[in-house]
Amino acid sequence: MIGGSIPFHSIIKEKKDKDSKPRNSEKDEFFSAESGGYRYPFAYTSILVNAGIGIRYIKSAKHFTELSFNQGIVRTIYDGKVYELDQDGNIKESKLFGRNYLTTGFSYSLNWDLNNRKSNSWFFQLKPATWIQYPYNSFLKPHFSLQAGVSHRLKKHNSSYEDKVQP
Amino acid sequence: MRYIYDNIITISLLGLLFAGCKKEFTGLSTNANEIFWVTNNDADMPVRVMGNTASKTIILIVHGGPGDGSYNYTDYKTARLREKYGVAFWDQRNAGSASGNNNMDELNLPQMINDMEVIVKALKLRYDGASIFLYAHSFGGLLAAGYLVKDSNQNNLKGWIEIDGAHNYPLCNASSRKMLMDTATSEISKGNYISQWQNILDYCSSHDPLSSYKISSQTETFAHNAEPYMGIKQKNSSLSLAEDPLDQLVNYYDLNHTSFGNDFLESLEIADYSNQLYKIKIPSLLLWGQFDFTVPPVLGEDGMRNLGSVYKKLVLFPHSGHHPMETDTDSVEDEIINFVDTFK
Repeated sequence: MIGGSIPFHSIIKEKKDKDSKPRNSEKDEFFSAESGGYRYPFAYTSILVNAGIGIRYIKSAKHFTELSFNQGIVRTIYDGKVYELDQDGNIKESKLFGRNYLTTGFSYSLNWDLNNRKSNSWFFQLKPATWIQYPYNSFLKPHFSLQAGVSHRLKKHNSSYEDKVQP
Repeated sequence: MRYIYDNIITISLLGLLFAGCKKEFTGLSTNANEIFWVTNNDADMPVRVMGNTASKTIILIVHGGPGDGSYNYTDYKTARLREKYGVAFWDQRNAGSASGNNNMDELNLPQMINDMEVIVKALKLRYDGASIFLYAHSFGGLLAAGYLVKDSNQNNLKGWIEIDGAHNYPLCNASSRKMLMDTATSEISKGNYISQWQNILDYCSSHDPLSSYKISSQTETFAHNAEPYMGIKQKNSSLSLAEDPLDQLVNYYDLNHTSFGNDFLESLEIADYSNQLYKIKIPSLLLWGQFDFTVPPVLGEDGMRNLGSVYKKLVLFPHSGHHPMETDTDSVEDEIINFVDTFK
């Protein structure tokens, strides 16, 4: 999967911890888009595209989480040749045959800083997700996935977390 | 409070990524393992072909259920068959890994017979010149009979094997009830599983499976339960999983827990091809478990009485119930191999 997100609304709250040091917590609301695919050998390959909306919770420079809802489409392409009847009742091969489905899903991601403390731009991401594919045989098909990957922040985060970052 | 505009790009890897390329047909092989699909009237049905396609003999599995899928036949039950022949495992529409968009309203017996016609045509195109046999189990026996009596379909085949096949649902229901009651009476007098058999006897005595689908369904449950009381060791307790197990689970749910699925199952209760079996002239091998309470051996005897085949043979397996290919695997495969080698 590859995707991106753009915040459209951020809220930063200043708090003081037990030692009376200032501490920020940030909540970003964002739009996202992603595409990707997966494959079951001897079954099919699926290509996904979806758009979503979500909330990113940033409580330290080292770690943030995201909760998002997305809506998209998936295209399946079957393994092997696909045959069908032509108008004369003869068998013919149907090239690149597959089907389109709608998808709706939720995901939650956990992100940990991979860089030094000054440059919080690369994060390791774990993302459990659940989504449904429909109409699948007149019903819906649930999916569960656990994605692992990296996320990159194009612009360095400019809120301050000195209390957490400095030793 | 302040606003921050901050773009994030995410690249993540799903548990399974693209691996390998498409499984294309590469010709005949002594150890084939390939897949193709047939799309017909809103359903996309996989056919996985395994084994010795170089033998130019293909056995098409017509699975039961309906809705079971063919994947659980790919194990030891067909191991020796795959060494000698190619075996084609077809998932019927709305079963196993078969998929599609809105297609449940197309789920009916005539449509499935039409699907089978397309499947056989695709096999003949793909394995040009191959001898094709049917291996039809349980509900597959009904479907295969419907295919064989229609038009000149049987001319595409060298023979068919019916294993505990339900080619006549009303006869199946009536004989299942009678066999359960007769056996219950006998076993109670012998002191075997008295409470279990008494429960079956009480129900069957007062409920006619021909009167409603609900009663027929409950009688079938008793029929499956009864096998272990006769010493039949069932091996099919674990759920067999398709390549994508969710496909199979969703199809199972659709069939058994939706109004479309129930309408289809209910429509089968009157399906009966006994009076058309005379049309079938190709060699017929009928294999039956002697203690099959679900599709009793009476159905096999009905086949012997009505089939128009010059060659027809009924074999009863004394240590089997509804799945002789699981409980008498070697004997079943011996019979099939002898039959196929004779008529291929």
